Amino acid sequence: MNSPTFDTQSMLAGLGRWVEIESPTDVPEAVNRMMDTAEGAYREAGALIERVPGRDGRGDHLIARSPWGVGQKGILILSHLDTVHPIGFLKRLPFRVEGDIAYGPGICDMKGGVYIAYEALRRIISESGSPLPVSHLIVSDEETGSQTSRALIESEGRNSRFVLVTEACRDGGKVVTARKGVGQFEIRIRGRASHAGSRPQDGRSAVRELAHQILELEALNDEETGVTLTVGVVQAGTRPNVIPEEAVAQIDMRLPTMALAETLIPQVLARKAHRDGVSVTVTGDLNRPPYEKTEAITALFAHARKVAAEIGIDLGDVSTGGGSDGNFTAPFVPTLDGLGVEGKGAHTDHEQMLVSSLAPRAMLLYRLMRTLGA
Amino acid sequence: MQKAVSDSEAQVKEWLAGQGNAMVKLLAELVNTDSGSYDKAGVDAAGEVLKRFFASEGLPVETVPQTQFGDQIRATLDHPHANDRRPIILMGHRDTVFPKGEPQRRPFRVENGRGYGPGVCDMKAGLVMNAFVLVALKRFGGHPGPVVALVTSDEEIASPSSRPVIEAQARAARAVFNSEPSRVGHKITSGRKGGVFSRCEVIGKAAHSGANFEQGVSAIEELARKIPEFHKITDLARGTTVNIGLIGGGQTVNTVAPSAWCEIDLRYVRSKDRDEAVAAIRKIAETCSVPGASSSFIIKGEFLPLEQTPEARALYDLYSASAAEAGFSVNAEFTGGCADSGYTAAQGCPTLCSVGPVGGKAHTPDEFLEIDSMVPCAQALALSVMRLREGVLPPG
Repeated sequence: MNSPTFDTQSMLAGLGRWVEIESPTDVPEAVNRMMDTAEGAYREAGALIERVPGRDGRGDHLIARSPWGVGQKGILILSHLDTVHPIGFLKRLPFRVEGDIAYGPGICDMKGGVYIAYEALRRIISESGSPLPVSHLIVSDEETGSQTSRALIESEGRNSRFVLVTEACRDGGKVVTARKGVGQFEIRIRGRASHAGSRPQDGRSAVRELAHQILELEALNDEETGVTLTVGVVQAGTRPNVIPEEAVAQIDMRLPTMALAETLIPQVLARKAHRDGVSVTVTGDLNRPPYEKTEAITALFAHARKVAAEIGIDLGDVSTGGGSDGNFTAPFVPTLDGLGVEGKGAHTDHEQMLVSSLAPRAMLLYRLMRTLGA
Repeated sequence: MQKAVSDSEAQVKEWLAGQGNAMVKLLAELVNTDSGSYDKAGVDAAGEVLKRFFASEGLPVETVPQTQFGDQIRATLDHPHANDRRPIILMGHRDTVFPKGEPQRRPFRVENGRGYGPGVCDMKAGLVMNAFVLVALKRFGGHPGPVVALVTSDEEIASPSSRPVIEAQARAARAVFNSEPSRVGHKITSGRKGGVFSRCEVIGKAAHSGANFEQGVSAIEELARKIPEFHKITDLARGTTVNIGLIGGGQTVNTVAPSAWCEIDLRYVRSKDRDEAVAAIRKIAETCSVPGASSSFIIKGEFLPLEQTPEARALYDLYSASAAEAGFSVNAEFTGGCADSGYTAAQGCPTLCSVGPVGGKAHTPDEFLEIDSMVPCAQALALSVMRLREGVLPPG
């Protein structure tokens, strides 16, 4: 292999500058500052730039394209540069390096992954060559469900032959070849209020109904099929001495296959009250479809495993319950996820990355871009 | 002697008959003084309105200071020569359930004979009535012993700071008239349920509901299992009810809920039913069935039931006869609503509740007072106090 190696220290310094630009999803001007930096880096690298203006309180999306093969179906690198950490979190979790561990908000989820993909693509542009054109789509709202980027992800996905997602790798370097679909629902119950002391018989408790509904919904959990359901948030009532009129709960459901989704989601949406005078309304849908390990994805992984072996990596794969933007493309284009850096503590105050994962993971992305479609 | 008393009765009745406008004026000032239970400064300001009124009539006022909630206030009309020196208590609270700023949004007003505004019937009108009765008795005499107007500060949150003052007062008293509003048709309270207000908190373990679902412990699931168990304690035949009025829990939709809580409202009729129901609630609250979940239970507040006793019945008969002379007839009604009268009755003090002016829709923006009921209710109360002589109540 005559490929150049990637320089860990210069990548670490560049990534550190990105981590220090805080970019929580719900502060679009902050996300845009991050996008400006990434855009500037890509301009300097000679990429073609498209910037899609943000909307609905979210920042811009950025697309950097290799200057060749415009209009041809190629490789889509899929990333996001928003983080869950609020502005000011950097004081609590400053970018710092201790031995092989680098800390910082979003360093693992997923600025590290975006940065190494940029380094790999920059090198390919400078070498002016890969068999397929490469587009790097960086969205601004993955952490809140990609509401403003989903259509763009899907259309870019449809114009691609392969999708590589730079979410962090798993369990010591494994890539992700399947993710459960994510359904999110809100259940809203309306009963009838009355005074708990003087008129208890007149009331219809929305809390009573909600408890009933939660217990029945929890029964959809199935270890065998891998379907999970949890009620993440509940809220009901106005005062302790009033029979509660309204109750609301938010439901998170994970579905390994489309077949399960098609069977179970209608059951969730069709919930009915157990008592007269009480109404139950469920809204929501599958917001990320299941990412199933299809034959095409199995083949893509086999290719990645071969390429990895050439650079000394024994690449494994896993499936996970966590969704990503890869869920949006996997149903129709071979998608490989978990190609980012190695780390842990995503979304926490100890989010961290293994510095020693930067160079090999950058090289893996570089080799995939160089070899796919060859 | 007998003649002197009936002279006093006539004078008191006549004087009160002319105080309608003055009562409305004091009521307006009191309603417009914002006094939500948690607003100590506001509750104390409402107390100042009454203290000024008592002082202007030469009635001595004592204050029992409180640090967290409003002060307790006691205005006393003494009777140094009475054989029975135990005071007759005219009780009322001046806190309201409303959020700060409510009187600015909804100041006192009168429309078609009804008064409106926060706390207008629950129970600022009752306090005004008590104050005028005390003044009438000071002016014309005829009371059989000392009379105390007790003005408390925190009934709407189950009387955390006033309860000991109320209980001590009740132990030393001859009888208590609590001037919560009477309901439309002059319905007064023959009995009240007791209430225990508690909270259960559940701790689970947070985990990402996609990536690490198995590592999570859902506090919401545990809470959902407890709720039907709490509800099973309800026994309508016995008059025991449990309401889970408020619940909350969780962090985000995609995090297994690390915590959840509920507030539990228990009502019961007989004192003997209390302990069993509380023990059942505690057991459910403290026992978890979701592996890894834990929970805790605290009692936040409590009202004792107002049970019917022969003394209470005699007090009712006395009031009913006085009301007839003031020109109205009363009806007795049992209610599940709690009040401070439960505390006084539990001390063995004969207690009559809901002798205040007529109103309704308490705790809502539609709360109203029938303005024209203020004078006759004041007259009925004054006559009842004057006739509460030795031997009227059966020995307790």
